[in-house]
Amino acid sequence: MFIAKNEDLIILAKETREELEQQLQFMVYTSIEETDVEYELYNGEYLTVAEIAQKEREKKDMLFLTRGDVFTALMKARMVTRANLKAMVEQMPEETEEEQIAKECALIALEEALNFHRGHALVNIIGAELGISSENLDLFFETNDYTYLLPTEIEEN
Amino acid sequence: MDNTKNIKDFSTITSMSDESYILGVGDANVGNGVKIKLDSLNNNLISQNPNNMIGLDSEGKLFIDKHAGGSLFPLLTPIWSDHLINDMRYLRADTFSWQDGEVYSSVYDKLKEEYDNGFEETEGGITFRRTANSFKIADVSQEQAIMSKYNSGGIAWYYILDVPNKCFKLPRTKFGFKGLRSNVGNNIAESLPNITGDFSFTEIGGSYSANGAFTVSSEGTAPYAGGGGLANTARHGYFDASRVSSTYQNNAPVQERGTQMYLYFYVGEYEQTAIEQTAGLNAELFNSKVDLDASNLNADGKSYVSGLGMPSGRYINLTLGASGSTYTAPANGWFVFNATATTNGSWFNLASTSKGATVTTPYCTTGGGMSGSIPVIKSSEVVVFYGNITNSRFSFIYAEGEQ
Repeated sequence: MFIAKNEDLIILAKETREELEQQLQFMVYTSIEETDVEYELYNGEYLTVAEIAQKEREKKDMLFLTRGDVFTALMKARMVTRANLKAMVEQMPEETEEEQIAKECALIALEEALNFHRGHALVNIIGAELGISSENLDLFFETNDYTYLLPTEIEEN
Repeated sequence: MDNTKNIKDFSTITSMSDESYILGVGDANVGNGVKIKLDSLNNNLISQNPNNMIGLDSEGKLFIDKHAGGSLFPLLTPIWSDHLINDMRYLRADTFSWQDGEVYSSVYDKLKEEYDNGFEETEGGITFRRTANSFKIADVSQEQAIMSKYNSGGIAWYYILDVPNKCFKLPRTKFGFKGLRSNVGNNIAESLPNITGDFSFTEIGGSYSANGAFTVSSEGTAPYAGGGGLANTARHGYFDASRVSSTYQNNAPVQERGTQMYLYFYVGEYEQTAIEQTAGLNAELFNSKVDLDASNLNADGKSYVSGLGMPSGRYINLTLGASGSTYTAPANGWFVFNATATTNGSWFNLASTSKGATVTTPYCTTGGGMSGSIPVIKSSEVVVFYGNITNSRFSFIYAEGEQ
């Protein structure tokens, strides 16, 4: 793959030099480089596949639902009450200082947070405890559809 | 050397020749005549006036006798020509150029003298002075009115004199000259023989009408005799001469057959410097040309010029690179874009860095359309910034004035 840069910014990437140079006709650039790394244009930036995955993860982690949405969905899908959730958090280890801080933060979030972000540690803790896949958690936070939290056939068997 | 004999020989030779541009010169030693093309000599010394002479004086020295008496025509004689006359003795009138009175001083002085001694008249809203020699000369203040008269009627036979700037304009006509009927220089209005006729008809049921060239007169009344199973039908007759001959046209001026010609005026024989020799021709060349500061554009010219910077129908599609990419304008024109928001808070921005102009869309919600454009001068740079969009068009549209 060939990339064109204007100073440090990758402005265009194409499979062949000819195609790249043709489309650079009216663009300002300082260098053309050949690279083994595959770049794709993602939201205005040329990024590697790994960087794009990271960006997508960060984007999903910023999804959020209200505490009412989350508690209602857990109740409908798993018959999980707020007391059940608190009990799960209470079981978190607290041997090290880091663990103590993580547990206390989870309790604070559970009791005080108005919204739950997908990327919050508490969501992953609850998801892991209930056996909900990361993909289904993503879909739930994207759609607010509780059915994504229902037990799968494998879990039921 | 016997100069007297040689001069006599020379005179004999020249007097025997009718070739105006060929000159006989006596050879002082041999006594034979030698012919020399006059126009091969320096035209700054000898004009091509056929009456100019060159010879040997009583001391055997070459002399030039430039013709001093008389002219080809009286000053300001109008001449029709089927070709452009590249001769400073003739000025073209139909360009309506201002002619320099310093250069054409004989004409200017004559017009000034005539004007000063003329008597004021007004016709068709134009004030001028008619002189004893039948010139119609108007002051420069009448220029626009005279121009309007020419544009609407095809004739404006007035000299225009600008005394403060010492220049003048010549009369113009799109039509030919006619014999004297009242005063020389006066317009002759169009006319045609009238066409008349009449026909009779019976008025039925008391209804009739007539207009335009038709009239109806009453010649008696009879009782309406309807019935009998026959229908009475009212008819209108129309008269339209153009149905017979295309010579008749609505609002067309009466026009006889003719041949289009340039109108020139003879402006005299006189000494001229090299610059002055081209003054009249230059005035014609510069006539109707735009000033350097474009201050003399008319409405059409202003409209044309203002349109040159507007977008044309010609464009090239560009590849949208990363946000922050810089593009160079291939010509004077416009960068344009269309995009669709992929999430809330999407935006698109074009910034002309060298000119300080920027166009930015407001934050757009998911699925919303965004578009915009920015005008740029050739070779100037525009930086593109955007976020959270799907781009459907990024193009450069050439300005109307670009090829």
